Amino acid sequence: MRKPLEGCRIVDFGIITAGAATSALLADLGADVIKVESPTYRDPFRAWSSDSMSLEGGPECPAFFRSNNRGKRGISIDLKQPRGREAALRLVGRSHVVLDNFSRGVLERLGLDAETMRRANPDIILLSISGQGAAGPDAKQISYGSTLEAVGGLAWLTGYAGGPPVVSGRDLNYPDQIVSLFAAGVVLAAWLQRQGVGMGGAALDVCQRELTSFLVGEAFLAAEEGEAPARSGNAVPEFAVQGCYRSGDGLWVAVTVEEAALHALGALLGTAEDAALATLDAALAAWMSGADAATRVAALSASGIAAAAVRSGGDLAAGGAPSWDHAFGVTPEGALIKALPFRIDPAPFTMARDAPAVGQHTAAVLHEIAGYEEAEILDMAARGIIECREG
Amino acid sequence: MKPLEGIRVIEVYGPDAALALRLAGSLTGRILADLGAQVSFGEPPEGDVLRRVPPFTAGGGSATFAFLSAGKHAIRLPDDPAQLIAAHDGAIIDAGGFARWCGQAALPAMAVLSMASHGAHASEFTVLALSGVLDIVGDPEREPLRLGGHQAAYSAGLSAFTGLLAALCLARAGAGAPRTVHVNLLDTLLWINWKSVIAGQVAANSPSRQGRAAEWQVLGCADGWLALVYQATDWPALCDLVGDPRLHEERFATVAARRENGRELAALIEAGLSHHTRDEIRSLALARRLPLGPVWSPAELLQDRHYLSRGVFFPAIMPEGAAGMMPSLPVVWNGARFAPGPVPALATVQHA
Repeated sequence: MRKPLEGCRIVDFGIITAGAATSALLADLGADVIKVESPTYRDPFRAWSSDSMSLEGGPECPAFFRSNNRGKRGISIDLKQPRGREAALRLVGRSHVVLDNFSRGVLERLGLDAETMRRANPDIILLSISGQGAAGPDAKQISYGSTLEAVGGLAWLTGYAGGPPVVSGRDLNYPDQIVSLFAAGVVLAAWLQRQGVGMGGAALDVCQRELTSFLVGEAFLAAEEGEAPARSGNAVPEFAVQGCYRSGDGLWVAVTVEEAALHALGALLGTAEDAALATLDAALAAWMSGADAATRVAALSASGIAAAAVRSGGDLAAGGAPSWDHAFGVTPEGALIKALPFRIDPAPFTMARDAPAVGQHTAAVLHEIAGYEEAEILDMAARGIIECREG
Repeated sequence: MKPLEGIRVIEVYGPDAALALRLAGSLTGRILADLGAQVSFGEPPEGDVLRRVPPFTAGGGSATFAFLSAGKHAIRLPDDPAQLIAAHDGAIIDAGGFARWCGQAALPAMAVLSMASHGAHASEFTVLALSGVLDIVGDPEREPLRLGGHQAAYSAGLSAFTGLLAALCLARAGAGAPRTVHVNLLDTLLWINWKSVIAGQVAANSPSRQGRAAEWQVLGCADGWLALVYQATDWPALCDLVGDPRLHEERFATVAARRENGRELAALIEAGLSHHTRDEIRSLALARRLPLGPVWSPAELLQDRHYLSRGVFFPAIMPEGAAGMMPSLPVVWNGARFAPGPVPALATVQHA
């Protein structure tokens, strides 16, 4: 089946998650993604793992790196050397999109500023993903995901009732995940426009802090009243009851009760017709502790009330019934790998190409796409301008 | 010219669509409208349910509706909207509406929204529980905590945005019949929480919420809070900023040791930074290249110098006039922002 980005080639300077996961998604959609590293600089994610994980998959391709870089080819060019920079610009000349999420100023210092890349290719779509945006007084502020929750307004709205703000933290790092869902769509919009009117040439500055604010956009309109909505724990004004309750087997069960389901809840709990919400809340907590989570969730569901036991990553990986349709795939050796946030093809996700080793496709890409002869490639490799790996 | 000019998209929801799906689809539609698409949504005579969703603006209207509907056209739908859907380039619909109306007719590119690929009645909150995201946030001694706002619905809205554009690209490339993209809140959240799930497969202890022992967490300061965020490479600069000699002790010497003694570490750093205001933290973080983040409220951000210089905010133009400021689409496109269009008045005219 044809893929949406067939015929689109992307020079990918994306690293870690914000950049690399965006280009991985574009690769899944059919783009030819060429990941650019350097003999002196690797994607830092090659060396990252979770607290308790060894570097599964070998020192170059741990599990996390694999998820964000499958489907890409990998090349290694020293952009600080003139011939390396020249090779990169030749690739830009024969591609459609350049993507990066370096700190602001890094590409410029390497001589790959927007103007230079546009000279190499007037129709190039330049996507820059950054924490704070390409310009502005805080553009040089270093940010990781949870920094942006704080400075973007989300942390202010997250927390236990009456307690301090809370961030999602290192294991989730929420703003670094959601940006790919937006930035990939931005590239598709530019590609669609190019298909329609035949012109390319777009400079796209995607700001993760602004995306974090955008996803609490209504809070800004309400803030004009003079007070921002207070942190309310798990309760929300749209629903009569919402919270976590501890079951008899020690699990937390998340429950949401709509106004219209209050009667059904009262019937289940045996409370009075006109019981106050606080009474229902206390009765629900007592009732929940009287049996295991599965029993209580089944009873609530049968009454038309949304309920689910809180699951950990370990619970999810251990499975039982599969929890996902397309969010994860399985590598040939049986490891879970991040797959797709949505499903467009009826076929299940397959990993078209494993994540590349450093420089695995340097020789092939420089020859096939940038038009270098074998002798030039060998010479550049001998001089340390490029790294080639048998692949 | 805006990138999606000339593209017509319609939002349609079945009578039983969960609020979360309306929130998700409405965010998708809002993004498409900002990018230049002509976006319509069906509105019943009594008004869209989102017009009653909190929070509210000073004028009493729903801030949620204003934010999600800016730039769209509200229309009265016929009883069977199948033909109307088919007359558009793209459609956003919930799975219930899709099953009800989209059986036979030739369809445009479609994003079909559901709570999960299978399973019973759900809310944003219970889907957060199923995805593991709830388990990650908060204190280990207390109940798991949801992220603020509508992150479960809105992240699915982003997913539908990218998915629908992929389908529109295929249609424009002339690649056969238009495709249907399936988006559900649970799969999107699992995709977002991928590190926990993968770590859960290969490690004995998958991540869970760590509260006061977390490496990254919120600390108090002179006039509010700041997010303590750092990588191993930032450690020397962080020690220098905090200036407490105890940070050089053996118990904090390595990443593993710092994780082991997270509570003590957080207490020392909090004490060392407590006399600074958030503005000072901002300047210090910038000067020392540290990823610390002052916690700003939405009201404060409306006056934030960085946001003001980037022109982030635009007024929400309600039928009765301007009602506050809201963030524009988080992309600057060839140097320009997309100004959101006006918030539609109640639909009164049956669609022709």
